[in-house]
Amino acid sequence: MKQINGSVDSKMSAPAYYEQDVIVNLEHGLHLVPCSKIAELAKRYSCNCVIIKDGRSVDAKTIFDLMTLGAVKGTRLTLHCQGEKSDELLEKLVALFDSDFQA
Amino acid sequence: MKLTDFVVKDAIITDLSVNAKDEAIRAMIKSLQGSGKISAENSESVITAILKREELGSTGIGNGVAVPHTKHPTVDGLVSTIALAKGGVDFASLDGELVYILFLLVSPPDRPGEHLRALETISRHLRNQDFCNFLKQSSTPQEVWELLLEADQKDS
Repeated sequence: MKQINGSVDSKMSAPAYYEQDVIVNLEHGLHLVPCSKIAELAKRYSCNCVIIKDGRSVDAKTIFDLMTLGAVKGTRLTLHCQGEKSDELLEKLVALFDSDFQA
Repeated sequence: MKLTDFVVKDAIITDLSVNAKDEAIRAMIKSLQGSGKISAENSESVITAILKREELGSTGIGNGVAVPHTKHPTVDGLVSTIALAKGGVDFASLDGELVYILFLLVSPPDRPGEHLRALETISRHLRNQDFCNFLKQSSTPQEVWELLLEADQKDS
Protein backbone atom coordinates (compact mmCIF):
# COMPACT_ATOMS: atom_id res chain seq x y z
CA MET A 1 0.00 0.00 0.00
CA LYS A 2 1.26 3.40 -0.91
CA GLN A 3 0.90 6.13 1.66
CA ILE A 4 1.21 9.63 0.36
CA ASN A 5 1.23 12.72 2.49
CA GLY A 6 -0.42 15.78 1.12
CA SER A 7 1.21 19.18 1.19
CA VAL A 8 2.66 19.98 4.56
CA ASP A 9 2.61 23.44 6.01
CA SER A 10 4.85 24.51 8.82
CA LYS A 11 2.39 23.81 11.66
CA MET A 12 0.31 20.84 10.64
CA SER A 13 0.38 18.23 7.97
CA ALA A 14 -2.59 17.64 5.70
CA PRO A 15 -4.32 14.32 6.28
CA ALA A 16 -2.60 11.46 4.59
CA TYR A 17 -4.28 9.67 1.80
CA TYR A 18 -3.78 6.15 0.68
CA GLU A 19 -4.01 4.85 -2.81
CA GLN A 20 -3.34 1.71 -4.76
CA ASP A 21 -3.89 0.47 -8.27
CA VAL A 22 -5.89 -2.67 -8.91
CA ILE A 23 -6.73 -4.60 -12.05
CA VAL A 24 -10.29 -5.79 -12.68
CA ASN A 25 -9.98 -9.53 -13.02
CA LEU A 26 -13.67 -10.38 -13.36
CA GLU A 27 -14.78 -12.12 -16.53
CA HIS A 28 -17.77 -9.82 -16.86
CA GLY A 29 -16.03 -6.71 -15.65
CA LEU A 30 -17.11 -4.50 -12.79
CA HIS A 31 -20.83 -5.18 -13.13
CA LEU A 32 -23.57 -4.34 -10.70
CA VAL A 33 -22.85 -7.00 -8.07
CA PRO A 34 -19.21 -5.99 -7.48
CA CYS A 35 -20.19 -2.30 -7.67
CA SER A 36 -22.76 -2.92 -4.93
CA LYS A 37 -20.14 -4.64 -2.78
CA ILE A 38 -17.72 -1.74 -3.17
CA ALA A 39 -20.37 0.86 -2.31
CA GLU A 40 -21.63 -1.18 0.63
CA LEU A 41 -18.12 -1.44 2.09
CA ALA A 42 -17.15 2.17 1.41
CA LYS A 43 -20.36 3.49 2.99
CA ARG A 44 -19.34 1.92 6.30
CA TYR A 45 -16.47 4.43 6.52
CA SER A 46 -16.62 8.15 7.01
CA CYS A 47 -13.52 8.83 4.91
CA ASN A 48 -13.69 9.90 1.28
CA CYS A 49 -13.11 7.23 -1.29
CA VAL A 50 -12.91 7.63 -5.03
CA ILE A 51 -12.05 5.23 -7.82
CA ILE A 52 -10.13 6.64 -10.74
CA LYS A 53 -10.11 5.32 -14.30
CA ASP A 54 -8.22 7.14 -17.04
CA GLY A 55 -8.06 10.32 -14.99
CA ARG A 56 -11.80 10.36 -14.22
CA SER A 57 -12.79 9.76 -10.61
CA VAL A 58 -16.10 8.55 -9.24
CA ASP A 59 -17.49 8.29 -5.72
CA ALA A 60 -16.98 4.75 -4.46
CA LYS A 61 -19.99 5.08 -2.15
CA THR A 62 -22.45 5.53 -5.03
CA ILE A 63 -23.39 2.52 -7.13
CA PHE A 64 -24.59 4.79 -9.92
CA ASP A 65 -21.19 6.42 -10.14
CA LEU A 66 -19.34 3.11 -9.99
CA MET A 67 -21.45 1.70 -12.82
CA THR A 68 -20.41 4.59 -15.02
CA LEU A 69 -16.79 3.38 -14.89
CA GLY A 70 -17.70 0.64 -17.37
CA ALA A 71 -14.61 -1.23 -16.20
CA VAL A 72 -14.19 -4.39 -18.27
CA LYS A 73 -11.80 -7.23 -17.43
CA GLY A 74 -8.21 -6.02 -17.44
CA THR A 75 -9.03 -2.38 -16.61
CA ARG A 76 -6.60 -0.66 -14.26
CA LEU A 77 -8.28 1.38 -11.54
CA THR A 78 -6.79 3.56 -8.83
CA LEU A 79 -8.41 3.34 -5.40
CA HIS A 80 -7.95 6.55 -3.44
CA CYS A 81 -9.06 6.95 0.16
CA GLN A 82 -8.62 9.98 2.36
CA GLY A 83 -9.65 10.64 5.93
CA GLU A 84 -10.44 8.61 8.99
CA LYS A 85 -9.44 4.93 8.75
CA SER A 86 -8.71 5.37 5.04
CA ASP A 87 -5.84 2.88 5.31
CA GLU A 88 -8.23 0.25 6.65
CA LEU A 89 -10.82 0.88 3.92
CA LEU A 90 -8.20 0.73 1.19
CA GLU A 91 -6.90 -2.55 2.55
CA LYS A 92 -10.40 -4.05 2.53
CA LEU A 93 -11.14 -2.78 -0.97
CA VAL A 94 -7.91 -4.24 -2.31
CA ALA A 95 -8.82 -7.55 -0.63
CA LEU A 96 -12.19 -7.46 -2.43
CA PHE A 97 -10.48 -7.05 -5.80
CA ASP A 98 -7.83 -9.67 -4.92
CA SER A 99 -10.52 -12.22 -4.08
CA ASP A 100 -12.42 -11.41 -7.28
CA PHE A 101 -15.23 -10.21 -5.03
CA GLN A 102 -15.77 -13.61 -3.48
CA ALA A 103 -14.71 -12.42 -0.01
CA MET B 1 -23.05 3.61 -26.93
CA LYS B 2 -26.48 5.13 -27.48
CA LEU B 3 -29.69 4.32 -25.59
CA THR B 4 -31.61 4.20 -28.86
CA ASP B 5 -29.19 1.52 -30.13
CA PHE B 6 -30.60 -1.06 -27.75
CA VAL B 7 -33.93 0.18 -26.32
CA VAL B 8 -36.84 -1.31 -28.25
CA LYS B 9 -39.23 1.55 -28.92
CA ASP B 10 -42.30 -0.64 -29.41
CA ALA B 11 -41.76 -2.32 -26.05
CA ILE B 12 -41.69 0.83 -23.90
CA ILE B 13 -44.37 0.83 -21.18
CA THR B 14 -45.46 4.15 -19.69
CA ASP B 15 -48.30 2.93 -17.48
CA LEU B 16 -46.95 -0.06 -15.59
CA SER B 17 -49.30 -0.78 -12.74
CA VAL B 18 -48.13 -3.77 -10.72
CA ASN B 19 -47.32 -4.38 -7.08
CA ALA B 20 -44.46 -6.81 -7.18
CA LYS B 21 -41.04 -7.12 -8.74
CA ASP B 22 -41.77 -10.37 -10.57
CA GLU B 23 -44.93 -8.91 -12.09
CA ALA B 24 -42.98 -5.90 -13.34
CA ILE B 25 -40.31 -8.08 -14.96
CA ARG B 26 -42.94 -10.35 -16.46
CA ALA B 27 -44.80 -7.39 -17.98
CA MET B 28 -41.60 -6.01 -19.51
CA ILE B 29 -40.58 -9.32 -21.06
CA LYS B 30 -44.10 -9.80 -22.42
CA SER B 31 -43.81 -6.37 -23.97
CA LEU B 32 -40.50 -7.34 -25.62
CA GLN B 33 -42.20 -10.51 -26.78
CA GLY B 34 -45.00 -8.44 -28.28
CA SER B 35 -42.46 -6.42 -30.24
CA GLY B 36 -40.93 -9.64 -31.58
CA LYS B 37 -37.56 -9.27 -29.81
CA ILE B 38 -38.03 -12.28 -27.56
CA SER B 39 -39.86 -15.34 -28.76
CA ALA B 40 -42.87 -16.75 -26.91
CA GLU B 41 -41.12 -20.05 -26.21
CA ASN B 42 -38.11 -18.31 -24.65
CA SER B 43 -39.83 -15.65 -22.60
CA GLU B 44 -40.35 -17.80 -19.48
CA SER B 45 -36.70 -18.76 -19.49
CA VAL B 46 -35.62 -15.10 -19.75
CA ILE B 47 -37.98 -14.12 -16.91
CA THR B 48 -36.53 -16.90 -14.73
CA ALA B 49 -32.97 -15.78 -15.50
CA ILE B 50 -33.73 -12.16 -14.57
CA LEU B 51 -35.43 -13.19 -11.32
CA LYS B 52 -32.47 -15.42 -10.50
CA ARG B 53 -30.16 -12.46 -11.03
CA GLU B 54 -32.30 -10.44 -8.60
CA GLU B 55 -31.64 -13.07 -5.95
CA LEU B 56 -27.95 -12.09 -6.03
CA GLY B 57 -28.96 -8.63 -4.93
CA SER B 58 -31.66 -6.23 -6.02
CA THR B 59 -31.00 -4.18 -9.13
CA GLY B 60 -33.05 -1.43 -7.51
CA ILE B 61 -29.98 0.77 -7.20
CA GLY B 62 -31.61 3.76 -5.56
CA ASN B 63 -33.05 7.04 -6.76
CA GLY B 64 -36.30 5.28 -7.72
CA VAL B 65 -34.56 3.33 -10.44
CA ALA B 66 -34.07 -0.38 -11.15
CA VAL B 67 -32.03 -2.04 -13.88
CA PRO B 68 -33.11 -5.70 -13.98
CA HIS B 69 -30.85 -7.57 -16.39
CA THR B 70 -29.49 -10.90 -17.50
CA LYS B 71 -27.41 -12.53 -20.15
CA HIS B 72 -29.36 -15.01 -22.22
CA PRO B 73 -28.30 -17.17 -25.15
CA THR B 74 -31.56 -16.69 -27.07
CA VAL B 75 -30.93 -13.04 -27.97
CA ASP B 76 -28.66 -12.03 -30.85
CA GLY B 77 -27.90 -8.54 -29.61
CA LEU B 78 -28.67 -6.18 -26.74
CA VAL B 79 -32.39 -5.95 -26.09
CA SER B 80 -33.79 -3.42 -23.66
CA THR B 81 -37.00 -1.76 -22.66
CA ILE B 82 -38.17 0.88 -20.22
CA ALA B 83 -41.19 0.79 -17.94
CA LEU B 84 -42.56 3.70 -15.95
CA ALA B 85 -44.58 2.88 -12.85
CA LYS B 86 -46.31 6.02 -11.66
CA GLY B 87 -47.42 4.37 -8.43
CA GLY B 88 -44.03 2.79 -7.75
CA VAL B 89 -43.03 -0.86 -7.45
CA ASP B 90 -41.54 -2.53 -4.40
CA PHE B 91 -38.25 -3.78 -5.80
CA ALA B 92 -36.48 -4.47 -2.50
CA SER B 93 -34.23 -1.60 -3.49
CA LEU B 94 -30.92 -1.00 -1.77
CA ASP B 95 -32.20 2.30 -0.35
CA GLY B 96 -35.60 0.84 0.60
CA GLU B 97 -37.48 3.21 -1.70
CA LEU B 98 -40.05 2.29 -4.33
CA VAL B 99 -39.00 2.14 -7.97
CA TYR B 100 -40.59 4.37 -10.62
CA ILE B 101 -38.27 3.83 -13.57
CA LEU B 102 -37.29 0.34 -14.75
CA PHE B 103 -34.64 -0.23 -17.37
CA LEU B 104 -34.51 -3.91 -18.35
CA LEU B 105 -31.60 -5.32 -20.34
CA VAL B 106 -31.02 -8.75 -21.91
CA SER B 107 -27.65 -9.41 -23.57
CA PRO B 108 -26.02 -12.31 -25.39
CA PRO B 109 -23.64 -14.15 -23.02
CA ASP B 110 -20.66 -13.98 -25.35
CA ARG B 111 -20.44 -10.19 -25.30
CA PRO B 112 -19.70 -9.10 -21.70
CA GLY B 113 -18.09 -5.87 -22.88
CA GLU B 114 -21.23 -4.69 -24.67
CA HIS B 115 -23.40 -5.67 -21.71
CA LEU B 116 -21.24 -3.60 -19.37
CA ARG B 117 -21.17 -0.65 -21.75
CA ALA B 118 -24.95 -0.71 -22.03
CA LEU B 119 -25.30 -0.73 -18.22
CA GLU B 120 -22.73 2.04 -18.05
CA THR B 121 -24.73 4.10 -20.56
CA ILE B 122 -28.00 3.48 -18.71
CA SER B 123 -26.45 4.38 -15.32
CA ARG B 124 -24.83 7.51 -16.67
CA HIS B 125 -28.14 8.88 -17.91
CA LEU B 126 -30.15 7.75 -14.90
CA ARG B 127 -27.89 9.57 -12.46
CA ASN B 128 -28.95 12.76 -14.22
CA GLN B 129 -31.91 13.97 -12.17
CA ASP B 130 -33.34 16.01 -15.07
CA PHE B 131 -33.39 12.95 -17.29
CA CYS B 132 -35.21 10.96 -14.58
CA ASN B 133 -37.72 13.74 -13.98
CA PHE B 134 -38.55 14.11 -17.67
CA LEU B 135 -38.79 10.35 -17.99
CA LYS B 136 -41.27 10.13 -15.12
CA GLN B 137 -43.38 12.85 -16.73
CA SER B 138 -43.58 11.04 -20.07
CA SER B 139 -47.00 9.60 -20.79
CA THR B 140 -46.47 7.86 -24.13
CA PRO B 141 -43.76 5.62 -25.58
CA GLN B 142 -43.19 8.27 -28.23
CA GLU B 143 -42.40 10.88 -25.58
CA VAL B 144 -39.95 8.50 -23.93
CA TRP B 145 -38.34 7.79 -27.28
CA GLU B 146 -37.89 11.49 -28.01
CA LEU B 147 -36.27 11.92 -24.62
CA LEU B 148 -33.87 9.07 -25.38
CA LEU B 149 -33.00 10.59 -28.75
CA GLU B 150 -32.31 13.92 -27.07
CA ALA B 151 -30.16 12.29 -24.39
CA ASP B 152 -28.18 10.42 -27.05
CA GLN B 153 -27.67 13.59 -29.00
CA LYS B 154 -26.35 15.51 -25.98
CA ASP B 155 -24.06 12.59 -25.29
CA SER B 156 -22.38 12.49 -28.66
